[in-house]
Amino acid sequence: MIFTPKPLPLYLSLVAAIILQLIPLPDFVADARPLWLPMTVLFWSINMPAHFNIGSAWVIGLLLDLITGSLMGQHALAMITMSYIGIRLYKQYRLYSILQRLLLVFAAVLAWQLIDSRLWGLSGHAPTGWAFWLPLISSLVLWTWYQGLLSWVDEHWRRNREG
Amino acid sequence: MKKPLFLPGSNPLLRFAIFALLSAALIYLDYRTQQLDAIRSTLNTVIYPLQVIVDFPARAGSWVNEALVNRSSLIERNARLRAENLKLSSQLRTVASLKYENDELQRLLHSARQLNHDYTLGRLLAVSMNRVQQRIIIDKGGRDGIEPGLPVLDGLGLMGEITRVYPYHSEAMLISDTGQSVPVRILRNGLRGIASGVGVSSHLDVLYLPITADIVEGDMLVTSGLGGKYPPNLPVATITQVSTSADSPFAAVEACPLAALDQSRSVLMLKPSVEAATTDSDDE
Repeated sequence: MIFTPKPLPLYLSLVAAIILQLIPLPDFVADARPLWLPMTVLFWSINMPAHFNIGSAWVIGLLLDLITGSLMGQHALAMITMSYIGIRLYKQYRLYSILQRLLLVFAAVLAWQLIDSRLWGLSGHAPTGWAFWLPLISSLVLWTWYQGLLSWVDEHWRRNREG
Repeated sequence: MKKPLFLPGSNPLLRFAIFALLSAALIYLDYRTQQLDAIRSTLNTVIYPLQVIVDFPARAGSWVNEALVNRSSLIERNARLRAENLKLSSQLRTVASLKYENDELQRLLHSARQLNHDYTLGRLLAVSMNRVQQRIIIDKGGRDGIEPGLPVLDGLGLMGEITRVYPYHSEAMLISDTGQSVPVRILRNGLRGIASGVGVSSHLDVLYLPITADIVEGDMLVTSGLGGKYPPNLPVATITQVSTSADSPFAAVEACPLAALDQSRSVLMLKPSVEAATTDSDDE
């Protein structure tokens, strides 16, 4: 296997997303906290499937399992499902209209939330109430901008390195 | 490096299937057996620096706050703390004599219970407070003598219980976690109930209090010591709302935790000291 250096923005965005995902917030904001880490994983799955594959998503999911103390493999499973949707459709994604793109993101985030909530239930933490689904909406609302920001950083970094 | 338009010969579905099976196996092992505990403990020690990094923004914020405090407000705070200290130490002297008296009485009654505890002071490293999890990470671990099951308190009341211990840090489940229930009694009249977390740090549900029970808003709940998980008489919550309905034999009672679950940065871990550990505490 040839070692290919993974681009810096990828790492930085993942670390930033982990911080954003875990940083303590007041209750009413925390309920609607966007799914930063899953969104970031989805972005790289769609935009750089050669560098960021399902294996990478799995490792990140396990990391989240360790940090949150959930069942080992819980977030990993949710993460690879999301990543799979992204990697499967990355070619189509470039041709999609905004609405179609959002639909794809919605499907991926919904898959994440469903798997996550089912498996939390297994360890006796079944989420209650509609507030559990708020992140779905906030993630969808933020997606376009978040994606724009990540692409901009990525492009910038690439151009700087080449020229 | 250009964005690749097509992936060189890899099969995402196959990969997905392999990793999904791997995850399922891990979930099964973790759910059904204890075999992953050692691995989890090791890996958690490895990623400990990451926890510190995540905590960094919050800590930097409080540093900035501290640094920007001006002299006059420091002087004012100092004076206030000194006054408070004076008040507390005079109260403590009264408590000391009361404790002595209480010990004498208990000895007369041949009661075995002794309320001696060692405190370990810890600092919060990380919190995850959301609907599914109300959990804190504390910067003291197995090396500092922390064990699973120890009660965690702040200056105001009971916060939760240590659930996992790693060499350098430990994890505590707060009383507001949906998986957590605390046996309590009402301080005023000794009525017993169970305070159960609902996933929000600002309130608890108090279960199994009959509609005819004498409960009013403002009543203080303390641990009853039943079940042996928490020592008795730790302050837990105050009742905020009592409502009854015709179709349930139990009153719907809500309480607000006394501990500042979402604000405290320093916590105390209660450890039974040697003489308390050798005696029994099953009366009440």
